[in-house]
Amino acid sequence: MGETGDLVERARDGDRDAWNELVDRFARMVLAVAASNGVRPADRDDVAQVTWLKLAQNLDRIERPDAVGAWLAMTCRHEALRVRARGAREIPVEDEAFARLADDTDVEDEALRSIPDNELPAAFAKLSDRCQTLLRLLLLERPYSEISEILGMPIGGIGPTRSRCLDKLRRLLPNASGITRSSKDS
Amino acid sequence: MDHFSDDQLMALLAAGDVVPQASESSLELARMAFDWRTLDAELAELVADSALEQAVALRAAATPRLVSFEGRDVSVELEIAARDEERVITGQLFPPQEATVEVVRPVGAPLTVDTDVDGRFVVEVKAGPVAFDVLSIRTDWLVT
Repeated sequence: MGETGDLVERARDGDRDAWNELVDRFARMVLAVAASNGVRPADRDDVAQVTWLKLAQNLDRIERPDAVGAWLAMTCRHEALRVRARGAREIPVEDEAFARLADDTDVEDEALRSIPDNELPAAFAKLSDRCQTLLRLLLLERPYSEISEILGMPIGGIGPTRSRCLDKLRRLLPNASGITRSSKDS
Repeated sequence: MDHFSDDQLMALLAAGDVVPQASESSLELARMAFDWRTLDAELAELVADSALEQAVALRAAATPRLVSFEGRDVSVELEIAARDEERVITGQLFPPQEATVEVVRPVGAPLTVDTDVDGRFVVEVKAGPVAFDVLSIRTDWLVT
């Protein structure tokens, strides 16, 4: 049994440190799944919290402690759909998602920075829930085995699906060409 | 370069912080969820939620949400009406009977409400996760 499975077993025995370690390990992934399934930023903490409450309540019933990451992701997705359907309201584009984009210097290519701050989040928000989930899990560097389980796709399908999702993103950007973009800006 | 490469797009997304950060408060809520693991009561599963039913979703937004939990011997049906951040929850026990209902929130003491002889109760809570302890059952958690 892997380390994650050990943490679940220890948490079952009442070990709070083990639980906190699970939280540290999976909290951001849970929020990413909520965000990828159309939950407004204001409701995301509720969805994440109820996901953790359900894990606590079902800790003894988890059949595969090793795969608790996938369990959390699937529970979170279910709760996200519930909360999203609750009001059946429109999900606004996330303005905050790329707020730090302009300041971030990780992107070395100047052309990449030529996309206005709001275009990328708008385009990303138009991707399918599945594409958003996949890309966010990849950005979080989750193990392929976990991604495969969460999305119900073979590990060999992850690479090609990533390409298809990025291709959609590229087409959703009003002008995905870095070179012509800079001339249009002037 | 004709267009951004896959790797460039991924770099752009990574730099853009597309993955939400876990705030300290959200981490704290997740840690505190552990307090709710001990469970002597039978867990009553959520068996129906009108929020997930297409036909209801298409009706007027003001239609109350209907939720059902089912335990072995006791069931609870809830009608949840939204009023801004408040939720008015009307509950019905099956079989109908007098009982004390504890409305459990993740933080703070539970609210206590008694049902009438027909097994009905009304309680008002703030929007957010909630669960119910009644008779032998504890319902699953629900975001109201």
